[in-house]
Amino acid sequence: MFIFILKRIGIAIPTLLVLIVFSFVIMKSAPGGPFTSERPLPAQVLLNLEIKYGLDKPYHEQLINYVVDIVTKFDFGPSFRYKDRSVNDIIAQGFPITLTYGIWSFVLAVSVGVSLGIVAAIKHNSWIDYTAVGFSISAQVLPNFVMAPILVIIFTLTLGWLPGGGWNGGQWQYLVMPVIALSTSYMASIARITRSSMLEVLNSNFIRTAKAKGLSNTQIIFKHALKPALLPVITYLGPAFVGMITGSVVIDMYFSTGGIGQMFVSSALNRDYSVIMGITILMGFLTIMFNLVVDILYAWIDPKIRY
Amino acid sequence: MVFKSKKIAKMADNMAAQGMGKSHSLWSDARRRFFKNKAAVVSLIILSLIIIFAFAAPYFTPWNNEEIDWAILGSVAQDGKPSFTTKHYFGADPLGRDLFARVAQGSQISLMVGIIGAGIAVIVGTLYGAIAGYFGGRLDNIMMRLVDILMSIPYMFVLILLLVVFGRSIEMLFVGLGLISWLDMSRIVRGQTMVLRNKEFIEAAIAGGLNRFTIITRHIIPNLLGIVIVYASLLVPLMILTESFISFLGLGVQEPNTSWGALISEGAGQVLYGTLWQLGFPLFFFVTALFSFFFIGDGLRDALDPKDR
Amino acid sequence: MSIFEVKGLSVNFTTINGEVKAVNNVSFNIAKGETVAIVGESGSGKSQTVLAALGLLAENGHATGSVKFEGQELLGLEIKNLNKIRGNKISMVFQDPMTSLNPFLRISDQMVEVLTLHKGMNKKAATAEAIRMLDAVRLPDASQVITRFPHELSGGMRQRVMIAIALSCEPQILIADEPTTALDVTVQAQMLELFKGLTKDFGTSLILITHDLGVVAGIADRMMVMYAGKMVEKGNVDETFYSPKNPYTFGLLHSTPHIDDPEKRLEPIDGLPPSLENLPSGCAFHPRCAYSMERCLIEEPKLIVEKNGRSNACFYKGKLGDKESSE
Repeated sequence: MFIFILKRIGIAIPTLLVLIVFSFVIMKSAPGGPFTSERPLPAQVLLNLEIKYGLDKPYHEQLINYVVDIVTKFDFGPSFRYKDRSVNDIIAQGFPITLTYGIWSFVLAVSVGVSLGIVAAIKHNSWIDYTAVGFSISAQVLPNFVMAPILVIIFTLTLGWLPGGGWNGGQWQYLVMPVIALSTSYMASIARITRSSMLEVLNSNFIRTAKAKGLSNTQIIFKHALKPALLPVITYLGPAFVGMITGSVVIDMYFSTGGIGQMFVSSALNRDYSVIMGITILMGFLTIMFNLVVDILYAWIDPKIRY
Repeated sequence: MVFKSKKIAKMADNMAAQGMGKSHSLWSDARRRFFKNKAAVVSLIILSLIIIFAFAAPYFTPWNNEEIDWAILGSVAQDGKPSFTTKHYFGADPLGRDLFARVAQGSQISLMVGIIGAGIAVIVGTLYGAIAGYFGGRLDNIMMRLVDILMSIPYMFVLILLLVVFGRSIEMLFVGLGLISWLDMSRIVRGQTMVLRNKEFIEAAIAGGLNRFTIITRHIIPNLLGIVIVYASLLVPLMILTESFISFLGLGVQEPNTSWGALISEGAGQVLYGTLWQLGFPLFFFVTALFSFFFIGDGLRDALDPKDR
Repeated sequence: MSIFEVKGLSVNFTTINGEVKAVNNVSFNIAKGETVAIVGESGSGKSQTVLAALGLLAENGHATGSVKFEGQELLGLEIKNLNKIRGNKISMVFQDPMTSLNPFLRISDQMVEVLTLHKGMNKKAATAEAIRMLDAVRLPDASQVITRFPHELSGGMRQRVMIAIALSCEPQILIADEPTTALDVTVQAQMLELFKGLTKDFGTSLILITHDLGVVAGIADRMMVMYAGKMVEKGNVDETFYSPKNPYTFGLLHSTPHIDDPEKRLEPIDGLPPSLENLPSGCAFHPRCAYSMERCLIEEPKLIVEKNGRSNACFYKGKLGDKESSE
């Protein structure tokens, strides 16, 4: 198991490096430097700025410095737009917000999705099953950016129950709509995957054996069927995580929650390269780490995977 | 989508086992099965109507998508409602432009993005996957490891980075979408190719002295057609979704061009002013089109997969 | 005294193409300690007969008729009560040992759960008992094997585990569905020896489902032959082998190689088993039967009891075997 984890980390590190180098190259190949603006700066000022940010050095040296700073100090450097703020400051401000509703969304999507899928499979061809299938088909076309305005129309505009945006320290009223908007489509996908894999497992020979043993339905489902039925769900968790991280950008934009996505988009529009890169790399890091956890979880559940 | 691609990979095995593409009767069988699927046929009709709307609608309105109706500007919320008297059939957008014309134009762009994005994926993914699968060994190992690495990167951020750095243009959007969309395709094609490589007719082609390139283009790729069609049909809505996502953030298509995502974004931003038609019409087209694509994709999969019944 | 009575059992499956009758009005009894073989080609309904008896049909299948165990009706029995019988008094060994064990659970988990459930043992006692059972089915290194996962065992080992599980509550009836089909020939022989010994030691009745007549000859007391969901012949194994009454049984016997007479030509039965969705009129076997008459096309022959407890469902009353030799 230990070697297996080491091997996975061995893949994760180069992936992260590729991401860093890739974003670095893209950033450097941008037409015009970070200080290009409508009013050209005097040459001397520009040079001073470049020296200050280390931009006068050769590219490979800049890249190495950048990587070293991230690895050793977890330092993504200064923002190019806000003179007195570092990328770390900006991330530290928005990240806890994103993390809060992100975790809620993830937990909600997985718990409701899995339960719904299992119930639908057990009650195959009942009204619960049809409802679950209907829900998961409809939610395919209800991504977060469609859900968000629909929720606002219902809960803010029509019912007047919830505020249409803001964060306010993460009070529950402000949390509800972001969480629902972000989790709905993933909840549906998870429900669908769970349902179909559960159905497949329930029709398998070893479940027939379990029935022939005289085990009760509860024992059959929880002891025999759950683990194999969850494997495809676990595989899906990686992409779902990426999807939610990406979706947080929309949530932040639409609900003005002030999370990291809002900063990403505003710095994208401002061409604040160091912030964009910092956020991209952070998200990449999280994704890669999450995939690592998923891989380990998978190996832990499936005895057929030899480490 | 992992789920989908897994299912497709399974189906690829089935199809390879059945020698799909070798026989014409299989294709006509598939066509018959597809047209027996009511949801798929209805979706196909609806989608055709949407396409017709996208390209024909501009001829049925006096307004074009850039023109501002000065008569209602400033009071769009009251006077910009959908109405036949003002000839704004879908109402007007916040700038007083005709939504009917804009939805038509947005539909054109969204559909184009979907089809071209999927097209790039088909070409790149098929070639890449076929080469990796056919040659196997070390080359395959390296090529597929690269795919693994690219897949574990949160592509949306990279895509946005690309758009920011190289400027927001529709061409850049295509490049960006194309760059990420072929990954799944290449995996599926590779698996399928590895199955095909061991078939007798490929061995016969090798024994006949054909060079590798000819074998891949003449013998492998035609036999991948079924699976590629199915996967491409599922990629189209995915591309539309991705583009809409980016456009929703204001980083996709640029004015005066628009797309479903951009229109939804615009409408969603106005929701609190009660101009619900600005959200409703683009949303209706977006949702209907996606539904249709998914059902058509499902229909194609059922029709081309001989086992799943 | 029979402990297992099946009367007029029919099994229907609801499919996209309509109702399919997999088992049609089958009746038989099994006495204590007896070994009975149900023989037939695949699709003859032999597996579905016993699956129906234990309430193990697929979701779209339903059974009618009566299945009584020690006088208790099993069909329609509440699941809670059925579960007191399944795996305890009647247990089953399935065809495919590769897929019939749960790949995600250790052998110990899969064995212990039966003992804790039906015998109320604690985990420790159950584990010890499970190891004893594995020894009883002559699995070497039982205390080691029990800690493994199914994929770490060979097919023969897994089948022994299956048998050990089935026997762990000392059932009155053991149903074995093609228990040797997936195994090597040498392992097959060992398995049959095992069954023989076990039925003797435990006094268990054995219902053996197979298409392999060699297995039947080696182990069974009585045999029942099924074709297209119906029982066509029933009788004592020795007599049935010596003088089959039904042309189908005759065909089966003559398409099986004989160790006593290796020179003898094998006579395959022409044609394929019919599709259950589209059965021939009259006797389902008539299109493949060398003895078919006008009557066979119109009327279904009933299973008629003859002397010595033998039964046969066929209109042809003459001697079998003449026709082939005259060709």
